[in-house]
Amino acid sequence: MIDVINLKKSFGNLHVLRGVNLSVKDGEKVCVIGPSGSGKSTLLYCLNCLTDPSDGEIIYEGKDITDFKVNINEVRESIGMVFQQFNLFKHKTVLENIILAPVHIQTKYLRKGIKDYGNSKKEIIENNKKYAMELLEKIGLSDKANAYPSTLSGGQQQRIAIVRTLAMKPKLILFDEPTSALDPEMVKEVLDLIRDIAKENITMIIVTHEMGFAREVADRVIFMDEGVVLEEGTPEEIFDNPKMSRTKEFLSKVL
Amino acid sequence: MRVSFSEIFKMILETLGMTFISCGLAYILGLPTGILLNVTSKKGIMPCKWLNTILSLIINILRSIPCLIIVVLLMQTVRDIFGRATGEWYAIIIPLFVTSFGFVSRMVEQSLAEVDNGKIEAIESLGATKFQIITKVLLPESRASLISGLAVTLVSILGYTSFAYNIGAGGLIAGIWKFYSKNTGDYLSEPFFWIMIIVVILIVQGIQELGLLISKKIDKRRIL
Ligand SMILES: Nc1ncnc2c1ncn2[C@@H]1O[C@H](COP(=O)(O)OP(=O)(O)O)[C@@H](O)[C@H]1O
Ligand SMILES: [Mg+2]
Repeated sequence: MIDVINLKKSFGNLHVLRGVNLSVKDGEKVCVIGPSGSGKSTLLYCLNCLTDPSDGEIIYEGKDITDFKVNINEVRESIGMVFQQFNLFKHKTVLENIILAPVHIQTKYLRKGIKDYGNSKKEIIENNKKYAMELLEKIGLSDKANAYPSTLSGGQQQRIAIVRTLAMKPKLILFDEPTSALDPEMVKEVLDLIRDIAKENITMIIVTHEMGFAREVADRVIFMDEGVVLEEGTPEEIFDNPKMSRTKEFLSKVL
Repeated sequence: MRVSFSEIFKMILETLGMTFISCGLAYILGLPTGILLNVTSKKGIMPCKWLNTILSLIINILRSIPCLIIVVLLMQTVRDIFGRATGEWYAIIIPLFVTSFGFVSRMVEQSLAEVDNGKIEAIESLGATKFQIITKVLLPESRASLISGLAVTLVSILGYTSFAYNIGAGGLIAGIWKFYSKNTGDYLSEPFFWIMIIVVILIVQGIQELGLLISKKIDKRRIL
């Protein structure tokens, strides 16, 4: 699904990514762990073209998306991203937050004559509202559809941010420390939701500090340090038998 | 000098006219310029150093010229447009617009800069174009701040309408000054003098309160 080849990113003299190689298969759940500052967020941002890499390639579904000729907005339609800080639009209701992007994209297709999503903008909006309500129902927040984000708890906001991503029916979802900004009592509800999504055939790359969670959902764990993938393997290999001394050192601090 | 209520009423209309019209013009040009300044800045969504530098330079120069000098510099332009450069209330509109345009641009730029970067990244990750980032995130998310900026601008332009005196364009503040200069000595004991001052204060307060109210109301939509 996605192949990262020798990816490098520098901010001036600061070499944040120093040649990352990573390959993720369709439907695979990959957890990325590593000390803060090791370049985990930067890697995710590069995968979603939110920053341009300095060097290297990212092959997504056969196309090098670092190429300027690739329409990154089309790429992003199938790549979802969940941020540490939720980033819901505060002037829009929960429902509006969720349907904003899919309605826009589907209307764009409608204008090109593709009627897969509805025969009119109104129909597209209705369909998306229906789907959004289904998703909200699933996470038990359908009563918040018309609320504004700031009236919700952090856990609720993050779950809605996740639903907003799901509403795009992405093939790949990138999670950047989805629970790090939450109060401890809200971490579980968010992890539970991610666990549920993991049961489906969506490819997931999750940067997290929740080691128990990583061990449970990951098919593969990546340990990043100083801008490279230092070690990777199954959760058992990484958590029970780490080979590199840096991995051991990191795990001894967080476990 | 004597003034009547009907004269004061006329001055109020003149003052409101010059303030609101020049402010409107300043926003017609200043809003897009402020957006351009924000998006072309180093941290903006489409950094463009040369454009940002040129715009900044123009605005900084404009902002550093005192209003009275702008009034003088634009005399001929105003005459070309209106047929006369003095004596009528609308003669001050162009100078006020030119003076406040730079101010407005900077205000808009700053309001937009307050928008959290994460929100921009979020909508980018959902596939938004640059134009959509501006229309769906930058402007809506900074609405409350833009409105309070508008109130600040109006009050500051209102202050600048005092220069209308210099070209005989009238209005309340010029009226107050005229009143003083024609009644040297006992103007403080004239009720009309105080009425005019109170009206100015009321207008300023009105604009500020209204700005605050709307801005709060927009913010409150989130705490519904
Ligand atoms: N836009 C930026 N400009 C300059 N430095 C940055 C920028 N983004 C990240 N960095 C730096 O890159 C390093 C890695 O950051 P990040 O990818 O966020 O690490 P992690 O997510 O693993 O904690 C940090 O030292 C950070 O300060
Ligand atoms: Mg990070």
